[in-house]
Amino acid sequence: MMKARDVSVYYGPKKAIDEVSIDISPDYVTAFIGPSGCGKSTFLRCFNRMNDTIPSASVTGSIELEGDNILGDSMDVVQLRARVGMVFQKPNPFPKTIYENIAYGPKIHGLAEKKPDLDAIVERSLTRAGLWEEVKDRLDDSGTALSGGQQQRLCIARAIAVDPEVILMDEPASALDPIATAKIEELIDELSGRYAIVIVTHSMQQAARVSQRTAFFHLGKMVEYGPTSDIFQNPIEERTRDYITGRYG
Amino acid sequence: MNNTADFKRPTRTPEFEKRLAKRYRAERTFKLMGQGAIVFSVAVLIFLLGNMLVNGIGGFQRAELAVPITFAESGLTGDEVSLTAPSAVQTLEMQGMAEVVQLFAEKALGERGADQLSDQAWRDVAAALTADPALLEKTEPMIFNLPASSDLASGLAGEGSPEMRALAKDLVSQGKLAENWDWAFLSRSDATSPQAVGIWGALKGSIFTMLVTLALAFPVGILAALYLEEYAPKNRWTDLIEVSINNLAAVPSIIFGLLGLAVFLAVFPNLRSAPLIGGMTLALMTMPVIVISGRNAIKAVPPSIRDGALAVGASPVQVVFHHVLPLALPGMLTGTIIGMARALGETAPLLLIGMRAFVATPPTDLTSPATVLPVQIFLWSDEIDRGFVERTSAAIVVLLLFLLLMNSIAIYLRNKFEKTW
Amino acid sequence: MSPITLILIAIGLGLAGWLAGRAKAWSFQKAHPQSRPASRPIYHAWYVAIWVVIPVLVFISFWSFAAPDLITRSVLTSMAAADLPSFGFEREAWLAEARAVATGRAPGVFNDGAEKLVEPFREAISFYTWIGLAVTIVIAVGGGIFAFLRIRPDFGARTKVERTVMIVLLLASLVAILTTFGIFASLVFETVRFFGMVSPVDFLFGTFWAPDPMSNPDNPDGSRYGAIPLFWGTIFIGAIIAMIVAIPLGLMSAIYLTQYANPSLRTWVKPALEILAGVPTVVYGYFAALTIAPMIRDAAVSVGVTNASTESALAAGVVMGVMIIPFVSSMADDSIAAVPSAMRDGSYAMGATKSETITKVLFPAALPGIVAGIMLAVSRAIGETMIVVMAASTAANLSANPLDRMTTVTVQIVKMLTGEGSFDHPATLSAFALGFVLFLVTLALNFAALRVVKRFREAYE
Repeated sequence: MMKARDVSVYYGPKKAIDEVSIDISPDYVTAFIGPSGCGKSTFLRCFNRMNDTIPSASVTGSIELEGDNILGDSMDVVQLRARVGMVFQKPNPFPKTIYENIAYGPKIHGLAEKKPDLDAIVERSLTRAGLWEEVKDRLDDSGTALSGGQQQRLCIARAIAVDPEVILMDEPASALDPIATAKIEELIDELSGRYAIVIVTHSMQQAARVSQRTAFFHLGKMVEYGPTSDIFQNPIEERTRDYITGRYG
Repeated sequence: MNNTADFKRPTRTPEFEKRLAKRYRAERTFKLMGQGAIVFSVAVLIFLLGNMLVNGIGGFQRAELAVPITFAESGLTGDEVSLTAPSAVQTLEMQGMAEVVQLFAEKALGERGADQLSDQAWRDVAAALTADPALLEKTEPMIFNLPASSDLASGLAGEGSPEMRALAKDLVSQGKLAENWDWAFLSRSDATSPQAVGIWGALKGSIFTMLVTLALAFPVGILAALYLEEYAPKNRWTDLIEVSINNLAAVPSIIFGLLGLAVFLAVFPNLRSAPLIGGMTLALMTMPVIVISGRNAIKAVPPSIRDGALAVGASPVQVVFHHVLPLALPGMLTGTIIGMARALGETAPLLLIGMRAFVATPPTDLTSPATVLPVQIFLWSDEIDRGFVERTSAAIVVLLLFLLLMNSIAIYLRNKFEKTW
Repeated sequence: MSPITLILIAIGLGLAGWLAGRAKAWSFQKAHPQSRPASRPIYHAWYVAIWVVIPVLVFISFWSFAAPDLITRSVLTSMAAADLPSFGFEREAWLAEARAVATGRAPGVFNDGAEKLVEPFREAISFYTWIGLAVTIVIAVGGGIFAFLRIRPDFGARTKVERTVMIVLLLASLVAILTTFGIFASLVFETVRFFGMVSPVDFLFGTFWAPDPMSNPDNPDGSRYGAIPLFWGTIFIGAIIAMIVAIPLGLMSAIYLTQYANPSLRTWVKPALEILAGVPTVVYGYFAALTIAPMIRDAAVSVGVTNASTESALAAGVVMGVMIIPFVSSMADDSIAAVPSAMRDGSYAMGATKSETITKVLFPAALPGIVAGIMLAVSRAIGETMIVVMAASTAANLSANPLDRMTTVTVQIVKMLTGEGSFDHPATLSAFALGFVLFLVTLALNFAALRVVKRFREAYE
């Protein structure tokens, strides 16, 4: 679904990502792992052009979404971000009601104008995110009044409300407690066939649990990529092996 | 695993594209509104300043008649001693100096022209004589550019009665009437005719008032800021002080005028237009500003400095006065200068305490009647004579220049001493 | 001898005491170089200096009130005072003139009767000047010696000095409370006097305002003191017209500067807006009266409105609005910047355009702070004096037409207090009542704004 070829990211003169190529597909969950500062979040942000919001950042190479080059001028970034959603490390619900949080995307993109349509989308998104039962009676409560884990599922529901093709997750569970983390991982599993999911995580155990393909990053380069089981049991590169076995990270 | 084929892909429909175009149009309009707001605000500022400047240029000039005077034939007597004594001008007046000047004027300008000589013009000649008594011996005529009457000045500007305008045109063509640069505007004081006014009286009053304000507000403000930030215990009294200061900073300035009227003038009833009272009133208004900016400057000093000083055994007073205060001082000075700039431009409270007297001589000390520059501007703005419009604008230009100077110094201080910890 | 001279003498003596104290403390150190004194010599020095200067300052502040009184009293007992008129304006004039000549302020007197009083004044002034000087020196030296004698190696001078410093700091802080109390008390006092003459109901609910300062003060016509037109004019000009100008322009400037503008534009425009805030209000008032008001009237006449005033509410309101733009802009700027960037990123990641993010996410999130800023701006606008004094009218008018003349609370305060009326006349006192209302309203607005900001900040902690 998405193909990245020779993508490099520069912050001013400094090279943060060095010629990375990878394929993303809805058939498998892709995990990016690596020590902190290796650039995995930076690379993730290329896929929905969130690096555009940083003035000094520049991206070279090509990334295609279903054949369209998203880095070119012909791709509209607003449309891109409706097709490639993102969930952030720290849950960031808007200071609005739960209903309005979910309805935000569909409203601005004009996907539903009438209330019954919006209601349907809200219910569907919250159900898919596993949050419907918990909040169906209090959709008018503020989104920020929920617990951390619920807020993150709210953000996931918000992202899927516009029917994206890809969902990018940047360490989605690192701010949550173990029980909430488990729920998020369960959710990723359920969502994975419908959406192409890429998850950045600093926890190798999480990557092993949740993903089918894993890419290991180190100092801006993608060192190794392959099926998750191979990466964790038979890494080819020495640096990969050192990271997996905990020699650094 | 779900089949990806049952996606609706709502974001790739033509309706979406159409809506996208509308959204981008809205985005452009929004951005244009923002630019428009900024352009309008800056344009008004430029219009205001430009207006004042254009009108003010004329305020630094005045209509003057050229009168040649031959002192040796004037019949005036005097020597080194009598012409440098304090009563020299009165002596010359008693000798009929005014008539002498009028005679010379009639010779040069004709009767109608000489009629339009300002009736205080002879004082300019007297001033020249008392400055240099040797002039009395001169046998060659000396040309004096003496102020014309305000009627003739209006005529020169193209306003006023038709006779005046014709006379002015006539005299100009003879080279006897001209609009000259009038730098003495900066050294004269208030008068009844726009030809004779100057701003020095008001400027000196402003300076005196500012000195009083500074002397009262700065120490009290800084000491209060130190107390509140460093020593005050967290109790209701401290909260009360803090709340009072924050409220005082937001009270309209006219209320301080009411306070000055009710309290200060009741205590010192015979100091009605004095810079002392004005300065005290403005000090009350400026002190909260200095406290607040002082507190911010002190807050910016990192706790590690204080901890280090305490660790070597400094007492709390020593920590503050030896370590914190020197580091916070630039920030405090910046805030003080900005507060003083605000006080310099204040008019309403000083109107209420009576600093609106007609002050024809500059104040001699802190207790003599005075006015301040903004009040002078206000008083002149009420005058009917069109000549005052230019003078008022010129006074505004002077006031704005002073404020520009003060704010530039404050910004310079802030940039020079701004430390990032 | 002016109080300033006495203060300078006191400072000089204080310096002498300072040096003496330090010398004595040094002598201790020299005599016993091993033992550490309780305080460093410099604190002993300051201890002596404090004991010299502070008692003198107390005396001087008392003396500057008492001395003129004593001088006048002494003159009145002299022989020349027998011819003085026994009361009234003339009496005061003679005394004032004689005093002026005696102090060298005036070259001569107008009233011959005052001439005879000049010499007694000169004598009394000279006499009391010497007394003042003598007492000052006695107190200063006495205090200094007292302190000097207490200096010993084990004397805790530093603690005492630091305690004095703390007291001074505390007193400085109390000035703020004193000022607030002074404002409150003076306003309340005069307002109560006013309400003794004109009923509060007439004042607060009456709709006709035309006080006559020349009328009989014992029988004020309460129906002429209806302040509603003033309240309305203040609100119409300051809270309505000015805000219609300031809020959109201030908000959109802040939004553009924080979200769209490149850094170089920001470095030029922000100072320009600050200059707008720094222009003195008398300049704005002059600009409004000289240029804007005629422009508005001419524009109105050209579209057929014939009775537009040159002192229209619109002229004053528009210029006041321009003056307020920087306040709204800077509060909006701060509030929008305080919204966590995660919220902004979240909206962009959803595919919102910049304007959608601003209007649907950032602005609602920053709303409490922006509302507080608007409340503070309104508070500033209704307390504004010079723009309305110079551009608006003094005619109280209850109208909704912005081209009509209107007056405000602040204009009337100035008018009532700069007229010819006496201080006890209800017209003059009405200014204090108006000031009191203004004080309460601005206080309430500021309190409310502060509480809104506090709750807003807590939401983001």
